[in-house]
Formats: sequence, C-alpha cells, structure tokens
Amino acid sequence: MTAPRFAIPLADIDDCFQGIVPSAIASSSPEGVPNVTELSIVYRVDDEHVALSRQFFSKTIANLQANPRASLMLIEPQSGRQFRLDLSYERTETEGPLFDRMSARLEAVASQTGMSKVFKLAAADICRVLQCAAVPVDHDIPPPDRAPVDLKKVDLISRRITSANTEDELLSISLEVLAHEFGYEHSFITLVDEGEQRLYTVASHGYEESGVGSEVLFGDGVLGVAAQRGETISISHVPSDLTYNRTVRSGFESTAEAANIEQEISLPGLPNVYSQHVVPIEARNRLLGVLCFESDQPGRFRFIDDFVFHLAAREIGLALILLRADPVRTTGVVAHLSPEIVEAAPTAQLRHYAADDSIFIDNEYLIKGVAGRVLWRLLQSYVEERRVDFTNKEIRLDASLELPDIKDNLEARLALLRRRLEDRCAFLRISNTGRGRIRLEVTRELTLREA
Amino acid sequence: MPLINDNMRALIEGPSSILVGTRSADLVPNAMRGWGGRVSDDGNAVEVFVDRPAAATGVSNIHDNGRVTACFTDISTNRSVQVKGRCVEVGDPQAGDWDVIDGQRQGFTDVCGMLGFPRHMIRNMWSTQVVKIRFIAEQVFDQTPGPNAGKSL
Repeated sequence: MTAPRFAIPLADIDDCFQGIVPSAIASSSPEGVPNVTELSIVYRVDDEHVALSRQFFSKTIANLQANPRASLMLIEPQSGRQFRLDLSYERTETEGPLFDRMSARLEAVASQTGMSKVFKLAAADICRVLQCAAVPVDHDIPPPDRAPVDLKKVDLISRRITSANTEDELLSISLEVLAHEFGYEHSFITLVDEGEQRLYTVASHGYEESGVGSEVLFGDGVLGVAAQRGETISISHVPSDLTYNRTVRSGFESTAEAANIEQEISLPGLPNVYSQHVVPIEARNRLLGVLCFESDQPGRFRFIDDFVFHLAAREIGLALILLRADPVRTTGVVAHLSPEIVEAAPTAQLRHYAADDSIFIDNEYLIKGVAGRVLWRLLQSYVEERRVDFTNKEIRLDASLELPDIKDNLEARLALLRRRLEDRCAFLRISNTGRGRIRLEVTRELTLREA
Repeated sequence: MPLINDNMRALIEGPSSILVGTRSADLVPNAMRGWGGRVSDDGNAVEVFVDRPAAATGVSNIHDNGRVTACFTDISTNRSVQVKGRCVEVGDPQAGDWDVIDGQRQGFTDVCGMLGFPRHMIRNMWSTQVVKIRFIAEQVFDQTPGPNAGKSL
C-alpha cells in the first residue's frame, strides 16, 4: 500500500496529536448550516485516518452522520504551525483497542477529578483524511527540531537495565540512566502489590521528597487507571486537562448525576506538573508495575520519547521477571553481630501494630504491610541476637512472617524498605551486601514494643 | 431583545479563542481561526477577522451562500458560545479595527502565556493581513464542554 499523497503526511505532524492545544472542527448540516467547535483530543489512527474523541452527543456527529465532510484544524504546539485536514467521516467505534486507548486517557483525568462515574468516552468517530496541508500565513515558520532517537543511547539503556543484579539495583539504575541519557529529570516506578489491587512507589528520581512507599489503588487517577487498563497514558498539558474536567464537573453538579461525582484525587509527584507520561511495566502479559515520567514543561514528551519509554518499560519488566525467577543466589545463613553502637543518642522507641504491620519510630509513621512485617522481624533478630546480616532466602522461608505469596515481590519490598529508611530514619539502614544478602545497620539503641 | 446578552458579549469581545466555520455550495465545510470579535451595539450582529492568506476558501464560501458560524472560547475556563448567522459584509478592516484585533491578539497571547504556551508559538498563528466578516446572529448555542453543550441560548 502506498502512502496517501497529502501535501503534509500525517506522520510529519505527530506532535499535533498530543492534545496540548485544542483542535477546531467544522461540519455542516444537510440544510447547509455550518457548525464549528473546539475538539479536545484527536488521535492519528494511521497514515490516512484520524479519530475524534466524543464525550457527549454533539452537533458535529449529528452533522457527520448526515453529511460526512468535515474540516479539521490542528496546531503544532512547539511552533504554532497550523494544518487543515479535509475529512470524510467513516464510522464510530465504541469498543476495541483504539477506543480503549482513547478512553483510558479520558478516564484517567476523569478519575483524578472525581468524575470517573459520569465522564467517559462515548465514542471514537473515525474519519478518512482526504487532504492535509499547512494553513498559509504571511511569514516563515521553521518546523520544530525532530531529532531521531539516538540508538547508541537506547542500546546503553538496554544494557544498563538488563545488567542489574538485584531488583534494588534495577530500579535505581533504570531511572538514573534514563535521566542521564535522555534528560528525563523526574520519574518514578510503582510496582503492583501482592493483592494486585494497588501500586506502591518503590523508586523515584528527581523529586524533593522521594514519595517511596506511597500507594495508589487500581483505577484511581492517572497511575491507577493505567494499571487497571494496562494502557499507556500521556497527558501533555495537565492543567488544561484538569480545567477541562472541572468545567464539565460544574456542568454535572446541577444535574441528577451530581450524586455520582466523587472527591478529587491529589496528584502524586511534581506539584507543578504539566507533562505526565505513564507506561505499564509488563512481561509475559502480566502487569508488574507502572513507570511514570513527569515534567514542569508543557508538551515535554513527544512521540519520539514514547518509543524510549516503552522500550525502558519492557526492559524493566523482563529484567524483573528474570530476577524474580532466580531469586535465591546464596545458600546458608550468614550471621553477624552488630558493631558497637558509637552514637551516644537516646534509645529509639519502635512500635509495631499487628493489625496492618505498620511501624512507628518515635511516634512517626515509617512503613506498613509486608515491608513493615519484614522490618519488624529483622529488628527483633537484631534486638534479641544483635544479628545484622540476613539472606533473602531465610526471609522467604521464615514461617513466622507468613509470606507465602510474596516470593515474587520480596526484593522489591526490601528496596522499598531501604528507601523509606533513607527518607525517614537517620539511624537505620538496609544495605545490599551481595547477591541475595542484606545488612541491617543500626546506629542507636532500640526498644521494640508491640502496640 | 438582543440575541447576544452582556455575558456573551464579554466572552466574544474578550481574549478568547475564535473559530470561524463556513461551507461550500456542495456542503463541504471549512474551518478558520478568527481574531478581534466584536458585537454590534444592538446585540444582533457580530464581526470577526480572519487571516487573509488562509481565508480564500472560507471567503469564497461566504460569497456563495452567506452562511457563517463563529465559536468563542475562554481558554482559561473553557466557557464557550457559538453564534450562527448570515454574512452581511466581507471586506478590508477599517480604521480602528486594528485596535480591536491587536488588543484581542495581545490578550489571547497573555492568557495562553499563563497556561504555559510560549509567545512565539501563539504569534505564529496569525498573519498581518486580515479579512473582515460581519454577520447577523440568528442562533446562539452554549458550547461549554459538559452536559449542556449544544443547548440553544
């Protein structure tokens, strides 16, 4: 099949489809009354089709069903170049892969603004593109820089990610190398918890506060919807999307649907986020986590970045599967006694709540759940035997921990624990001392108490 | 009673995003970007200006059948109205029109700047030559996204 002969091929204006600047669409009724309106999202389906997102029944679709011709104007967000597409409406989709991809983005922002029950994608209206041409202006506009992906950098990323020896190393290396090679300054990884109901943040890069340990339920907000749907979600102008949803929300507040409007969810990550790109981490058709990139610049992530994100997510997924398939790399138990505590600090009070395995240090919450249970066990061994060296294998086999379902996730939990301690506690550390081995470092006397 | 009330006038004459739609004799529509919206004193007519280099088809359509529609959107709130009507004048801008056009373009650029869009990008959206379109409003619709979008006002 040869590419259609448009003045401008659709692939050359991919950045127009990021949804940063609303598009314009004109249609006409069979009686000859024109209609023009803004359109929040237009997707490029292939080299000669676009899909128009439709949340409500509109005059545009009523016109297109009776008279299929439409005129679509797109704006390139980096340059301000405008393009006019002559369209012919072909069909409407309300299910299928394209619909799912389009609805995931809408659902994600709707969920963020408490609108998931009332604001959904109604349909994707598919149109054939008859022509695509630049809208003439009286001055020259240089096209934006479209540098190709540097394959050497891609190769380096792949090598670094797949060379990690432990999950902990994998998580750190992945975000570091992506920041170093491609300048993705703000990123974090969340992993699926044992119940497969929520994500927990296990590593981050470039934030004032690491956010490690924070949790998101499947279906909640951009991250939760990306996990639940297994779809990549890219938002190129977060404030505009939120404003759009809040406008819709206020429209619903005076209707019978008001009862279905929920609380807004506060955004994780950057406080002034403009661009957010969330990619599921999957391997062998199984969701393992979500990789998230953020920027305080609108439209920071372009289609070319999408390629890098997906490659990184796939490499991380495969590396996780491989590391988890070969979790026991040492045998035997290494026991060491703690070195003398040199710091003349007061004894730290640690409390454990069995109900949810949460741990508080000097009345400050530290961690809960599986990671809390594991830490409590390590601390008990430390206090009773002054033991500091442990192997992952013994933790896995420790019946008192009752961890039958976490064999896949133990290393990630330990990585989470290590980072939470770095964030929240000055006198406890967990370090890796070799494959499958960890060491508890304690620089204050501890008192443990079951609450 | 004027078709366009004071609230709509504020939106049309404010720093809004303006879109203009026409259609040909065989019902092929055409979209254009507009500038410098203005409502007549009696609230029944609207003026907009479209970029001349981009207006050939749109102006030809108007000469053919006079049908025109314009959508005005406050991009900071998404409040939006669409005014449909019949064109009564197509021509060059007159003395004083450039104050309106430049003022609206400046305001639009400022609002876009507050939303994070670079000025050079917004500046590239318009040309220095424009065509004036004046039409009598026949219908006004709420175009604000939400359950009331498309409702006649």
